[in-house]
Amino acid sequence: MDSNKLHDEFLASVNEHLPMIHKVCSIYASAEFDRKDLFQEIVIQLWRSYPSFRGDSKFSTWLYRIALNTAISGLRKKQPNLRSMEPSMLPQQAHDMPFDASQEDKLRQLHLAINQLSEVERAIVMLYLEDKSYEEMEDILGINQNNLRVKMNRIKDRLRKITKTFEYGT
Amino acid sequence: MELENLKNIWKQLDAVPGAGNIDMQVLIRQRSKGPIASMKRNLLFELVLMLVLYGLVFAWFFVSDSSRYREISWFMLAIGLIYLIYFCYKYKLLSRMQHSSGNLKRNLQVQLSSLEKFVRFYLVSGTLLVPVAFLFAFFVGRSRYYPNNRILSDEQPAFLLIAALCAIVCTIGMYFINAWYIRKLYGRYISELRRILNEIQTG
Repeated sequence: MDSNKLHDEFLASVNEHLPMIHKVCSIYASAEFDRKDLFQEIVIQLWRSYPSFRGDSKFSTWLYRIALNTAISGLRKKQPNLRSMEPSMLPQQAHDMPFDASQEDKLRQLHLAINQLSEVERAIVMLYLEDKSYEEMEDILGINQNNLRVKMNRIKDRLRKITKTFEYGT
Repeated sequence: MELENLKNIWKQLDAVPGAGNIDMQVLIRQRSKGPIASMKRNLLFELVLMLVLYGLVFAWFFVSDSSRYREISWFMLAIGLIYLIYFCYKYKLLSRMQHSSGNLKRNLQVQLSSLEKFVRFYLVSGTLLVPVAFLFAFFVGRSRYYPNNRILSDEQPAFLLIAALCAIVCTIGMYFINAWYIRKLYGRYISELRRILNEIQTG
């Protein structure tokens, strides 16, 4: 394929899925600088792998695989366990949404809670919030569906406990 | 917190266009800052340095008037070729680690096995460098000080024994130094990969 055509096709596809990449970055990097770094790295890896994308899976599935592989195995600096979240730590899209105090509060709590999870658990939660079926999650993560259901139940319990700690300080 | 209730808020983040001004054209031309890309760049730098310095030393021996030194240059050529094989193998392992389009579990397995092979190879080749260096020094010393092969005469066995013992001690010492250095460079990365993979594989 002509390299300019490939280039344009790639940019068009990735631009359509930018919010997904930003969400991955917000889950795996809390500081703005780290998020920009991770975003850049994910886009570079996507571009590097694009010529070998044959369309045998959905573009979004392929993109999630690369984004999560980059975020999880890229040896990022250990993110600190946050107990509070400044508004600047929320994903950029949250700042561009019409202001709603209770929604922003819920989003902030969600990010704080997800920050307490392991790398794999964050990936599972994110895909769950994205409404991915367990079949798609298996395709992206390589974890079989039964294991995913068990892990998801554990994660939900953990998140409930974590948010209780935030609310009641215990 | 019920995740089901948060799905709506999460999905609303999709509807907001872009996030700041991102010039994607510029972004894809940037250099990767990932650890594998850095390792590849370091390896290429090592290759260039080796070709230049080793090449100069090889040329010096090769164009020498002494036939002994020319013999040594053939030995150096053989070592140089082995070095190129060493470089190609390491580069191939690093390239394998850079593929990230498989599922997460598969990707981690490939990364971990490739990195472990890389580290083992680094340890063995770094350790073997010591006896090779001693052998090289032996050939050069013999050519310089014993051009008539008298190093193998009755007067010199003690010298040879001492040299051999030094080589063994240095090789063992180098093994432990390399092992420590490799653990410092890659130990944490390998532990992290194992931990994450273990979490994926257990229920």
